[in-house]
Amino acid sequence: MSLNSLANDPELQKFVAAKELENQLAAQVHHLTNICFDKCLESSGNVSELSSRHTTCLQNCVDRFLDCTMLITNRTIQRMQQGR
Amino acid sequence: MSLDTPKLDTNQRQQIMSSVQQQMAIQNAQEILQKLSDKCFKACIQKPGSTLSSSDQKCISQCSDRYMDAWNIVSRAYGERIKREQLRH
Repeated sequence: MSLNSLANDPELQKFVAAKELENQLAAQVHHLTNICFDKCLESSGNVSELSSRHTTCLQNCVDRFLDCTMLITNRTIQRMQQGR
Repeated sequence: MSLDTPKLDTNQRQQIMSSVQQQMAIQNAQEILQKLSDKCFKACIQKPGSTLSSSDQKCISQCSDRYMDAWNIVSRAYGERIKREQLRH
């Protein structure tokens, strides 16, 4: 079994591509959990149960962070297009 | 130099795929363990003593449970956001 066989196997290629995507998504979830735990549960991270307020905060945090990222991305692209 | 590289048989392919799967699961678990320790040590241990008191232990246990709860909520919210974005475009 050579590296060539591995690289040229179409089924394996598809599998690896899918796994890489899965990895990226998982990394994003880790990143978001890290940020949103601090934002939403900072002082109460050791309660016995998450309240609905905590849950809502976490959900909003994910959406707002992604909105923030998209806004920054678009703005940065605009700047580059304007040549600034 | 032959242009015909030997093909993988089903068994070999399965083995490779399982092994990759396993590696990813291990990596994921390591990442979570690292974050749990960091977060919960920070939240629960203000002044490190000579042992972990039982209240330290309780705090750490609850903190790690809450972090895992948070991970699940974030994971679901993220998945739903991706679905919404896909529907929009």
